[in-house]
Amino acid sequence: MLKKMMWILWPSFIAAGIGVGIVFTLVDPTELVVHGDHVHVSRTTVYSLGFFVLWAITSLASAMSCFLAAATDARKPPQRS
Amino acid sequence: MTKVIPIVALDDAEEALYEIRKKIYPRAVSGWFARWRWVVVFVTQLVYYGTPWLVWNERQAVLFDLTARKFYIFGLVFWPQDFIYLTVLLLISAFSLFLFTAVAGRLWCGYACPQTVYTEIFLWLERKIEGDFIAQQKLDKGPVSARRLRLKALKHAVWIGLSLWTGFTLVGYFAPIRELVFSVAHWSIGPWETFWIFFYGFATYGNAGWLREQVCKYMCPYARFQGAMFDCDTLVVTYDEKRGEARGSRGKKTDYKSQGLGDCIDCHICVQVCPTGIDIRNGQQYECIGCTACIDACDQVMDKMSYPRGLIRYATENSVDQQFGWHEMLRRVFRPRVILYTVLLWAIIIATGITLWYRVPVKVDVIRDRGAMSREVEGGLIENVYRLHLLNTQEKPQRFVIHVSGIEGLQIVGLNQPQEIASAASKTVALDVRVDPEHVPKGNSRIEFQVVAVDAEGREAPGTFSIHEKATFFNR
Ligand code: SF4
Ligand code: SF4
Repeated sequence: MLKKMMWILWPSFIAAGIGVGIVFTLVDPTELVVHGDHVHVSRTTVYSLGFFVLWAITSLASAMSCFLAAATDARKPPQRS
Repeated sequence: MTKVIPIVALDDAEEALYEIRKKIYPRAVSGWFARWRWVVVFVTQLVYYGTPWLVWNERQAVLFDLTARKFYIFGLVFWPQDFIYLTVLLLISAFSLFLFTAVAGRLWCGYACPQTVYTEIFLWLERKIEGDFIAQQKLDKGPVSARRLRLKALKHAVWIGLSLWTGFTLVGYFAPIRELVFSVAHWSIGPWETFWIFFYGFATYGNAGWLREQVCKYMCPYARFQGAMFDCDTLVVTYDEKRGEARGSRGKKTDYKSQGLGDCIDCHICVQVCPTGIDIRNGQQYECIGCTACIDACDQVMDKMSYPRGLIRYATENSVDQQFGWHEMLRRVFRPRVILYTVLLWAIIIATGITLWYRVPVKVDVIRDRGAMSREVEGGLIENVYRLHLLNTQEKPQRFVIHVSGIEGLQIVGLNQPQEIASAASKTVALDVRVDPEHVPKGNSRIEFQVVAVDAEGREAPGTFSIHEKATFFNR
């Protein structure tokens, strides 16, 4: 279980880090408009929250991959050498 | 002829192995490689903990100021527009890693990876507090006593202290560290700073104190794909099987060769020192992080037995198989793959150096006014409105004069010239460009803005620069 958690959380952590880097070099948080209104929080907050939202999404993708891989492996007939 | 390798059995065994992971108690080593590893640990940590405290131009020398969206690295200031340099940095790191791996395997893992380095420091602290690996095992297996609780509490307190300092240092790269100290001392530190210090501190504590070699085994992508950069001429930590086998214990004086024994006395010291808990004598394994602990350990054993050193050593697969010496091994370092990596690496570094050297200290973006495309103003002139985003990348104020060209009779109105921009700051100026409709056809025409640096008197001093930026002029 711990191992699965590591497999899911760590690669998605890296992916989210890269994603946040790219998004926020292109977008200045103070210019963000959500529901037609500018966001009134500090940049640090937007960066941090942005990171966690992305991390949640990438974790979901990792978890799905993990789930699919496990489901496929289980159906494989035992290999004989 | 095909060889079928049984995979299933091994996988099962491995599965079982890590599900019930036994704590590894590595034995301390000393020796030539161990000393060098400590030197590297000291240097890297000095750089890591020390850098945020350096001062340059009366500001923090290295500061990735996220709130101001500026990165300071000594004399250079980078902006989001300099994104390309970040990409280049990643490329350089990747190629260096390829190069090192091709030449000498997991040098990165063994010497520089934060995971190894912090594990090393944590292990050292653990030994200082709980004693050597035998004492540690005894303590863990023994009954719960006041002494055990005291030692454990002390160990974790020290670990947590170091982790928090590490987290604090990391945050100090992103927020001015001196102000951070001040706000910590006054309990006025911002919520996100606090959060990230604890987050990174917790990650350090967990990875170096608890997960340790599991990070390398199950989490590290590099550990898995580094095999692709290996070949038979890559230097790796190797057990010389031809020399060592058949292994077996014997007295120091015995003529072991006549008994058919090899040089390995089967003392298991190399296994005891291994932080990933493997036996290097079973051959190359992906768990081996190339930490060289087993080399030092075995060399000591060889010394005690008065056998030549190097039963476990840095060697290439070819050199062990074909038994050639250092010269041949070094000659083979210069093989096509290594040369290719080296050339690419230097090409990128030199190109980056040149572009940094010739970097024009101002950036200009022309933004057309989206609302009014074009309109007629008094005197029958056609007017377009533009906004120019000017960015001064130098750490001193600069003054600029803006010209426009491309159509006969173009003129700029509504702009105070020259424009001054403070050090490392940006400014958006709005300006109207007018022209007599006789000179400009219907539709879009190309025009060009010219931003020229001038001195305090507004003159174009020698050695100043100018930037050209294209734009379109629209006439209905
Ligand atoms: S330390 Fe050297 S002699 Fe001892 S078991 Fe390992 S390889 Fe053999
Ligand atoms: S086998 Fe040797 S070099 Fe590899 S991880 Fe273990 S002690 Fe380090």
